[in-house]
Amino acid sequence: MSNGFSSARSPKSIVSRGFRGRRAADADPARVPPGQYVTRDFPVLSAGPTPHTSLELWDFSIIGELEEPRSWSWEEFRALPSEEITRDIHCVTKWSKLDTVWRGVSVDTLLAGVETSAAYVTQYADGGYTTNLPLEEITGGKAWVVFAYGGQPLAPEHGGPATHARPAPLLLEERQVGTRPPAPIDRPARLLGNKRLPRLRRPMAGTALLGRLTWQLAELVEVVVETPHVKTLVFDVPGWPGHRAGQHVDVRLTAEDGYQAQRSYSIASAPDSTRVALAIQRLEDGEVSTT
Amino acid sequence: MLVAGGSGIVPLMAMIRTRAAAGNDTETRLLYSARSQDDLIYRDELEHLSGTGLTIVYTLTDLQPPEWTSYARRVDPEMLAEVAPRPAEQPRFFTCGPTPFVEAVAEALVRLGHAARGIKTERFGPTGR
Repeated sequence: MSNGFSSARSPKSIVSRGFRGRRAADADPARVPPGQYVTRDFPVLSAGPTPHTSLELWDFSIIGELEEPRSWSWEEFRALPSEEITRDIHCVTKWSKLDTVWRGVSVDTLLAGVETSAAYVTQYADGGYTTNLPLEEITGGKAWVVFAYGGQPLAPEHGGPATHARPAPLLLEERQVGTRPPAPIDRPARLLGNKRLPRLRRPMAGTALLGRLTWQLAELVEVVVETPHVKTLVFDVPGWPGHRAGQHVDVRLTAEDGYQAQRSYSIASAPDSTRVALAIQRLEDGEVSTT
Repeated sequence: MLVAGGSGIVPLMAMIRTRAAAGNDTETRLLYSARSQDDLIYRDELEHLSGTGLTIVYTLTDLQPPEWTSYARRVDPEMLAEVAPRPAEQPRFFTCGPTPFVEAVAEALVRLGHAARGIKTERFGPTGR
């Protein structure tokens, strides 16, 4: 839902004047997929309020094509063997976080002894979110239901008390697992079945493909000082396809040596041909905002 | 209803501007929280736009000018109860700002009886781990 602007064809020939950047000396470039930037923050990108789950009401169950449905209360779930997992995570909104440490219960543990002909799993989470995955992608040590991050109980805004973690090329979303079942199924569940729902996973993966979103060159045409810390920057972007109020845009700056940094900014202007206005707040230690 | 915390006013301003450009007069309320009057972005423009079905309420949390008559504290459930439409009116909410601000506003609105699915959120900036 965003179009970026910077040079598309030859990044080396377009330089953002005044931008030097701050290279992360300790991030091994091989670990960071193209287009991603490393962050020490932990952004929260939910579109709605964070659900707050009472642990007394929390439960997790597996239903569908298995002999007997399984279910755990919070205490029962926490009594299961758990393990610590350290992984890099990459979000489709371009940020990557390296060496994140989680603790969780392996899906293999949850499915231990289950015999099923199901090839797919649908996960139902708090807030009505669902995810549909092939069973083989979450078994064999590939997925966990995690309840702790960085040695602390998982915060609600990051999916706490428990969410699903699965090493994958892209971190699609954090979803809370447990309680508030959606209709018509009566409890939060993993549904083992043979239905492959194509829409949920592919669209997100599709937008992250390089080349789908193309960078466009933007020229700064006006600066308005709004407050001591905020300026409005008006850009002219030839070929701007238009936007909807409320959307944000990715901006990429290129230093003379080719180093690039990228950030997201909300668009301040109503749709207006090729003009796009952003309001940038200067952060003391901001790599991009101080440019 | 739009609830803005600091620079969270930016995408909400895009909505207000689009509404104005379209000549729309749907009842819209903006609750805009900032540290001081100097930190209010788009002040003049908002004053100009208010009145065409657009009601603006400010709260200045750190520093208020003399004779300030509006709110002078952080957005809280009491303020939202006074400013927002009632749940029976089924308002749609858009709230944007620093993550802790949005978390507090969204949770307060849900506790006031507003449907979670009617509350759209955009969280800026770090969560502080």
